[in-house]
Amino acid sequence: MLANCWYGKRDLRVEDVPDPALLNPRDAIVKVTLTAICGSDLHLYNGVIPGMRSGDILGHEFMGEVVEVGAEVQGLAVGDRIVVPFPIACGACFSCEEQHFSLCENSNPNAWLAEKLWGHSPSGMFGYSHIVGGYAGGQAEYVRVPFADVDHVKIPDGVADEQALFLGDIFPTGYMAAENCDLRGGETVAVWGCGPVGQFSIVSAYLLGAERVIAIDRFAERLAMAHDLAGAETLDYTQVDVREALEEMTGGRGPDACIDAVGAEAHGPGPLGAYDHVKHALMLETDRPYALRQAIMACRNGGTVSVPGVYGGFLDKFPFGSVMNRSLTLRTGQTHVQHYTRPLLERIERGEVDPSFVITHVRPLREAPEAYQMFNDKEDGCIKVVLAP
Amino acid sequence: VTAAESTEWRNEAAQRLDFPPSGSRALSSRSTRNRALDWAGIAFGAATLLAARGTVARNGTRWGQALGAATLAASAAHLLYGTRPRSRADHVRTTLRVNREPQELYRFWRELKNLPRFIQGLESVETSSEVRSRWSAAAGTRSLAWDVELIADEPGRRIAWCSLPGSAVFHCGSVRFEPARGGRGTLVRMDLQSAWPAAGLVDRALRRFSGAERRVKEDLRRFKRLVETGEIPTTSGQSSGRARKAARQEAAC
Repeated sequence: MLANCWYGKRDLRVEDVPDPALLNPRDAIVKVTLTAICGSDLHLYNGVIPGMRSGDILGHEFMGEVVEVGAEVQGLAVGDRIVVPFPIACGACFSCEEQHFSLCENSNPNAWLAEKLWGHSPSGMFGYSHIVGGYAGGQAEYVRVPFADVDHVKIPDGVADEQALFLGDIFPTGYMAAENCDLRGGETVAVWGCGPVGQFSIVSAYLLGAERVIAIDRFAERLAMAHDLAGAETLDYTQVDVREALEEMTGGRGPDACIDAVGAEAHGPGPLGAYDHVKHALMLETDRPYALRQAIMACRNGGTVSVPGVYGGFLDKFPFGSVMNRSLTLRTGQTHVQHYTRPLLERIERGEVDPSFVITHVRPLREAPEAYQMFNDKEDGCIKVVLAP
Repeated sequence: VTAAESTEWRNEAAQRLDFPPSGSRALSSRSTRNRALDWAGIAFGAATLLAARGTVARNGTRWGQALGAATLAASAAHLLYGTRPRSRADHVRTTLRVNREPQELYRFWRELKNLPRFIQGLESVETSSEVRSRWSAAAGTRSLAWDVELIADEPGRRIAWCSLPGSAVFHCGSVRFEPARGGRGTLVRMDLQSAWPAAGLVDRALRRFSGAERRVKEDLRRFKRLVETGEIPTTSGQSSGRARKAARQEAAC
């Protein structure tokens, strides 16, 4: 089968690799009908996330048709059309019982490695470095899905692939980011980053009762999407001083909640932005937390900073004094996707949200490496690429 | 492993196995301190060696180099062979919480033929009587077998076993199943002592560094995964861009 494989920093190739096989009784094999490149895949593309091996198959956003099921798979049959959540969860451990699926205690075969880096291990994940298991991903014609009985959501006929696909990651991710803001109605929420997760954070903040959402980015097409399709007010950080603008817009109080939908590879203006770039390039810092620092400083006293953006290691100049002295709440985590799939599918079926609005490009799987390059370099107004095998 | 050693260990293990009530750590602290000293020696030796390289050309003396090399060699040798008495077996204690009832876990473990499903390297366990069983494992290229006797069996609470005196392998273990507070599963406490026969120099060095502790912890984790999910999650055998590339390179050769 064809699969998009990682061979090094900015070195991806679509190769002919062996078809996946059932390895465990709760596995299923899915024939991929649609897959996507996630913003977090760009961290792999740029070699920022450690623990990749040459030849790894990428991709953690995918959907398709079940073509084979293991002996112990219940409630899933050949022919079912499913979206697969990106965290792999067993459904039986303490974390899964708590609905914290991305913290499944059992699905990461390399848990000891993650424990060295992070203290404890999160769940295994598709196509996202050997620290979280090194599971072969879904940017391929076929993919093996472990614990398939737990890790799927069936898609009814009335919902198109393009509408359902993002239930596997970015829609729940934006939704959990907004849910983590503990909105009660009437709040002002600021969102750093107008990539797909930022877009879904905006949409979800409104669904959960926010009165006003302010979106921050530097790319005109992303700001336009946030404004026109997601309904946010927008700030271009290359044109205005974000802190000043937010103070102005909120009467000096700051947004009630701030969402960092940027993560480890933020760009920032001025000396601090340059400082992060240099330290990052010299590998003295694993992440560039420019957006996160700004989100913390901007947030109102007693407010919440919600972080769906991905970080891998250690942050520099992290303003924890601001968090402590101003009673801020920090909430974050890899998304517990399985907890959100069914309610969000219902919202799609009811027509409240059509997640396909973020798609700007559709490409064949064969062109995955070019698509990554286009997405990474923000060429051609690229915001979200889906790949069809 | 000689018969005398084995008997001595067995007696010792029978007394020591299982977690002491107040969690004494006396057993491991001595070897940890010695190891730290060895590492310091290695670091000092290597630094002296490096520093001396620059001065050789100038004053012709090799004393610095000799001192560095000697310290390095002595520390490394002591680390490999001297940190514990030669006859001391590996001793590992570890605990893991499992999301199942003690009774269920006890029953699974008491069915000794289940052990090879989660203890890596163990090939089979055949039960010959209520208390006796024969275990076999792969050791490098050959296979080893030894007889094991249960030395404690408290239903729902504890199982302990030991290889018979004079066996090719010394292997004594105890596993306890304690209900966790608040009905949140079971604390599985494992205590293992083992020694393997006639390991070569390379084998010993590898074992010293790969660590019995890590191996035992991984086995216990595999136990948890097996009883909680019915399988042990794996990626071995999955497809990747590596296999095909290797095949192509072979074809090209």
